[in-house]
Amino acid sequence: MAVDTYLSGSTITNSGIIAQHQSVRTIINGQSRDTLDRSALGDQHLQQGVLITADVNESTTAESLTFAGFPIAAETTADISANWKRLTSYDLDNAGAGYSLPPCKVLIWFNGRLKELDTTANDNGQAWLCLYYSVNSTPVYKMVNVGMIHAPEAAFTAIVNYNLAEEPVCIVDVIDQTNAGSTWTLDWVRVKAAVGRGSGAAPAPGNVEFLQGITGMMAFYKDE
Amino acid sequence: MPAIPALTLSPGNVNIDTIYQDSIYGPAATPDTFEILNGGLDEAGNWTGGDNSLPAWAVQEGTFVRYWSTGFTRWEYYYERQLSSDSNVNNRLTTAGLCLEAYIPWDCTIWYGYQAWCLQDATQWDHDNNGVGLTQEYWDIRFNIDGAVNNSMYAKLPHTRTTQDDPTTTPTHDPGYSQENRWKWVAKMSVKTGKQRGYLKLRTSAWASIEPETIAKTKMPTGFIWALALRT
Repeated sequence: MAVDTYLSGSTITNSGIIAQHQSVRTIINGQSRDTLDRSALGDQHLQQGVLITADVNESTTAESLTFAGFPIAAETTADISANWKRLTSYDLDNAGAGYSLPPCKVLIWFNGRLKELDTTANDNGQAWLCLYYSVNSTPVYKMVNVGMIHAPEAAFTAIVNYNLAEEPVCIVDVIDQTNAGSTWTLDWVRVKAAVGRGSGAAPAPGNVEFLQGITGMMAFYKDE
Repeated sequence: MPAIPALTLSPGNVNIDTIYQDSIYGPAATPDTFEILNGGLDEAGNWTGGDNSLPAWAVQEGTFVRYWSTGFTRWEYYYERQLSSDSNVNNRLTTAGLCLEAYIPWDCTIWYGYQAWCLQDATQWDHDNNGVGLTQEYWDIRFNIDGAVNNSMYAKLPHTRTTQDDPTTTPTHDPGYSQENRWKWVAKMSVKTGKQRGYLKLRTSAWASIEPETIAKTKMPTGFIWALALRT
């Protein structure tokens, strides 16, 4: 189908322009997907269609916890919920508003630095970490998002520090809400930690310090 | 393809501005001019039928997402001697295997990071053998994105052995920290939103707090740096 164009010397009128517009839009609107060639469409044509939103909390604030306050009692989600300490420097919550999302998948992660795990008083000092989140006001804990850093030896002698650990940490998870019936809210992504003593006798680590961590999220449109 | 509506013009004189805005270029909240062909097509809303059935092969590679990565599987070595015993933490060794530069053709959100196994020479010195004057050497890794340091991606590689000037029963490693036979796994990632079209430059660098008289190095058996650009 050709586009109607003005002949040289003819008078341009509103009705003529409407006719010309009509002939062009008919051709454009009439293109079906079956007429598309390979790689016919690119970023010059299409809106972005992958990322819904992304956010990150990059913190350089140190947070400490001690065995006396936050011991791990059991490797269970109930214990995490009840007894572990929330490391508030790594909260990710869109300034408290949360993230209102369509049915989708969300990638979340935490990576940071265990700056110090002091096991001066005992062998087998442990620091535990958990990445967790809340969907529609319901916190979600998963044991697969739990990690543990182990400092195996206490001080051999008083003259050397055998008893401090320094470890990078990385935990990544995917929240699958593709089957959500409607818009849902990711309220927040957070990190909790606790200390333990393994097979050693009490007391366990005197101090655990986390520093320089990142909590992040990325929400992706689901396949249709 | 899209659902461009019919043009309506009031009778009377031809108004160039009206024609332009109503038919050619009118970036309104709901684009309904030919401008929609210029990056405005959304299959659900602008494709006839809106049936979300645009075939993947019809879309050019890199339309929505682009990815770059580079890495190494042969050991890389970085020597303390390259630092010229300089105590300035900003005079650093570029860890060349963990650097990346890419051109991104559109505004985007960048997801980026790196991973590496690290095996560092660093010692805890007990100079006077009485618990005083303890010196703990270490290496560290700094991350830069587009020339700016991202302090939250800092990694410290602590000492892997200990010694005394007058060794007696002291073991040759420090089991509490890394050991020389244990590799450190460093994995860092973050997001940068609002990245504008242009070059992306990711750089990691190492620095050592090492006794000047020592010969120390950091070995990286494998490493990998990557960036995922998601068009916005």
